[in-house]
Amino acid sequence: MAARPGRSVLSLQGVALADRQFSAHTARLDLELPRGEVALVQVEDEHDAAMLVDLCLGLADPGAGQVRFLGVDWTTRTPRERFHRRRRIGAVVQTDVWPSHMTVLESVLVARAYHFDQPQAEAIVDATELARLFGLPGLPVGRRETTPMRALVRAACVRGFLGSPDLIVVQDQVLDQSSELAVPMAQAISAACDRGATVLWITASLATQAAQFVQPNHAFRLGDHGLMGVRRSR
Amino acid sequence: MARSPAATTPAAPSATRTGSRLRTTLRHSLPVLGVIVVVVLVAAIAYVVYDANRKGARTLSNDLITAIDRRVGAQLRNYLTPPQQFLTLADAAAAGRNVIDAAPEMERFARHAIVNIPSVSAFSYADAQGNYLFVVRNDKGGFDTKTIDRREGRRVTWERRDGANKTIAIEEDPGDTFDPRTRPWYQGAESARKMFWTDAYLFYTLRKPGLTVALPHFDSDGKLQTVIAVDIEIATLCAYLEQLSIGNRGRALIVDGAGRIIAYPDDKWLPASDPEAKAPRLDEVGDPVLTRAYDLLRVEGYGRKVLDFGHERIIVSSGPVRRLTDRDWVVLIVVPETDFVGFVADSGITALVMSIGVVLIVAALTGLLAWRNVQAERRAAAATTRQQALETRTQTFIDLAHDAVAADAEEAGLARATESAATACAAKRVAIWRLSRDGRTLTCEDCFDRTVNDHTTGLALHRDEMPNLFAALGEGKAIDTAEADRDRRTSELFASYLQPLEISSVYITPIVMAGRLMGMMSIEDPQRGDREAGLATFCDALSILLALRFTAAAAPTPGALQATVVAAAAAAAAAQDEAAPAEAQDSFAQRRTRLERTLLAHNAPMESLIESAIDRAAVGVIKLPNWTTVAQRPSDTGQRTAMDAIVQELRRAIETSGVCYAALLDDQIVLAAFLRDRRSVEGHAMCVATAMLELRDRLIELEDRWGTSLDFRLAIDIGTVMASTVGTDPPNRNLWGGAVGIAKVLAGTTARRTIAASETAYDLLSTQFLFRPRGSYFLPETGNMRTFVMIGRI
Repeated sequence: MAARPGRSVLSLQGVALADRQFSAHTARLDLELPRGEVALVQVEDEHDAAMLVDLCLGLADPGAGQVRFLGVDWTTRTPRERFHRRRRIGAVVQTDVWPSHMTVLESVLVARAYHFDQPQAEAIVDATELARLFGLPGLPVGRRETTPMRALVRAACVRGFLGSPDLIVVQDQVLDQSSELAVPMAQAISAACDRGATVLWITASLATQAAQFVQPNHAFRLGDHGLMGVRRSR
Repeated sequence: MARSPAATTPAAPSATRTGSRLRTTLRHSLPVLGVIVVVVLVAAIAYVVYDANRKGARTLSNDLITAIDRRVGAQLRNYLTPPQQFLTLADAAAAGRNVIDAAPEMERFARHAIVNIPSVSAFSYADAQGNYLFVVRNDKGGFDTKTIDRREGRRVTWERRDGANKTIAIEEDPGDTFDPRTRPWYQGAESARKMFWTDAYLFYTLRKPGLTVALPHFDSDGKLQTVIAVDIEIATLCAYLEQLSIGNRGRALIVDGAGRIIAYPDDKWLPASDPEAKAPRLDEVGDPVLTRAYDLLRVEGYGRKVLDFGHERIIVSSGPVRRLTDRDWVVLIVVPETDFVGFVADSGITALVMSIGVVLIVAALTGLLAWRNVQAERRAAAATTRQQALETRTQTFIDLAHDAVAADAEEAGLARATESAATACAAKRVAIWRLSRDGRTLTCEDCFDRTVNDHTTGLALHRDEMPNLFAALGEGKAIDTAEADRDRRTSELFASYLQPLEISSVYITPIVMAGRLMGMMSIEDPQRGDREAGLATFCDALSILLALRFTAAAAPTPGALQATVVAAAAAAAAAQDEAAPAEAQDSFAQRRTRLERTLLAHNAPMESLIESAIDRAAVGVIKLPNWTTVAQRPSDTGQRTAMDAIVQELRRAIETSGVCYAALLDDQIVLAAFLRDRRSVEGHAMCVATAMLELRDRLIELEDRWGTSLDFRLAIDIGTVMASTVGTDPPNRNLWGGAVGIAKVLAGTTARRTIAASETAYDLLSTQFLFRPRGSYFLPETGNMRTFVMIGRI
């Protein structure tokens, strides 16, 4: 797709995805995601998916190429600046997002409390609304070890969609396997896009039920030659 | 996305551990290294000694063979020289006379000479006319003399004498056709014109193989007059060679230039029956070593050689004895090298085996010592560890006892107790649980997690979930298991609590006071092995301390006692009517506080609700299936849709359930049972709970009947609801807000075909109905609330 760096929320230009687990090839990624659009990317290897997420979130630097978020190359920013810029990104992931010294509720709300001047009561109301959308009566108040997995998965969704992030990155293997979350996820994505957010959903398979309900503007598959556009059958 | 941070470990302890491990490894491996060095040294010494001995033995063997060679030569000379001297003297005595003239003198001379020269077995004296004198030993110790007289024809006479030289017989032999002039010794001497040695041949008279040395005598004109000869039996030469000792298997032979054997340590090599037979060559006696030696001599000539014969080395030494016999005879000595140097290898191997034996014994002793050293170290380390563990636990117990006496804040005391116990037991987590008054719930008073160095509280374990654990605790005995998943007492605890923490080893001690279970203390993933020493005693003691603490905390303080008594007297009547359990009071109180706070946030006091609010109403909500799944018309419903049939079926069930309120709106049915006084709130709750179970079962029956999956969910809550009057004739009430909203939320978020229950519902109904926990959530309407799934009646 043609590069429009000035208008893209997320832009990957010639990004090298090296050190892949099951491939000796370095994939070159080019992706432009304008505001309010949804892209589904099928990445079969979880290791590659995690690397792609880290690149998009500025947690890792690409070996070659540029990753721009809201027009700014991540590599031009200090770690502190990157940290502050990430407040505008919501991530739905399961790995290590639940600190052991916080309750799940605190973990969901802590970013809002730290980065934004929003009263906690309002944040709780927003989070509760999302929690009920995803099938929870409210936010789990236990710690991660005492909270059922089902509730953790949904709480992760709440955490990713909470607030008004400019970019939402979804990469959750558990989510791929959950059919109950398909409709709520589609509703949440649709609502986020209506707000102007851009969504990048990295899924193990475009055929998973969770991804089937999403109406993406773009669908790709990550191969040895980079991101290849695919047409989804419905 | 935050990935797991890299674990940072202090470098100094790691380096110390590495150094300590290195020292331990060195200390344990030193004996092994010593044994290896000794083995290598012994092997090297054995090889050096073996090589030096081998070289020395070779030198000695060369000298020995040379000496043997010379000795054989000397012996051969001693053996063959006397016959030659004998011939020379006899020839001088005969002085060319014919046999007839010199016979008596020569016979006497011969008899004396043969007696004194053992190598000579016979004496021959022939002249050119064919007369012949032959003197030979006989078996009676005397001599036989044969005379051939040709003066008057041919007369052959044998005169036989005994050992005393007395004639015992004179015989004539007319059949004897012997003519000395045809014999090889005669012809050889005549042609050689000097002393002549024959090849080995078969003696005519003795029929034995032998050699003859002959000396011709010529007159002044050069005409042959006589030939005198003596016979040397090869048997005697062979006997001599046989008695030579050359190593263990060495042999000495005499061969001629053509490789034919002159003398061999065995005299059976020449067939006696064939006078024309020649002596065999070296390669014809069937001895492969001699065959190889023969080939070697033919190619390389005389000298000292070493043959590689198979796995054996053979020394072959050959030297000519030409000067002795004037013929190209060779003394051949064949001896295996091992006869001389074999003892070196044998003694070397013996010494090596003995050395290895010694080394093995030393190694075994060293290993034993090392093993005993390791065992001693381990025992010492284990004893130290046990001692440390015991001391730590003792100190911990003393500290905790001081805390108890200090009457500190209970929470802080418990936190210190869990921290100290976790440290003392080197456990991952330690939790103290208090049993509720009704004995149905164990609530975590404090849990300390060493891995994150933090405390948690509030987790509850319910008897319905873990009946086996509660039963085991009721027996008052500690539970100690390293496989909590396989232990029947802890398997339920493992599934819901320990497994998510990746803990399988747990020690649980009940907290008992006066025979009554008050709680439990769980030591999760304690360090086993030597550090386990005293764990049970420590936990027992700590549980007694905790029991005292629980008892003290439960007892009213003296100051508060009087007020409590007064309050208790005042509340006695109300308490009789108000049978709600204490826990229900708590959850209702919490919810009420939350409601008051929420109302205050909207500037609305609680009292403003009194007119319209109904407190502790039991509310049930049925979320009906998605309309797309119930729009069809099943065959047994006539022309009605499935939804019509469902609503009709539910209506019948609701009408008989005893609830006082039912409303259908959209895809939800709301039931409620309440009265304005609170006396029978439990009864209303049971009424709604029973109705919900009945409705669930009806819907499941419809599913079975229609063979379809109906996506329905139910929920029950007990709490305040708002009531509005709708219409006037008859007046209808509409319930809204409060518990209705909570029940709707619970119904909307529970799993399909299940009945969700709020904490207040659980507190009121848990003695009559079976619940399982579903998790604790923060709801803006209620604050933190435990939620449950109602399974059925108990």
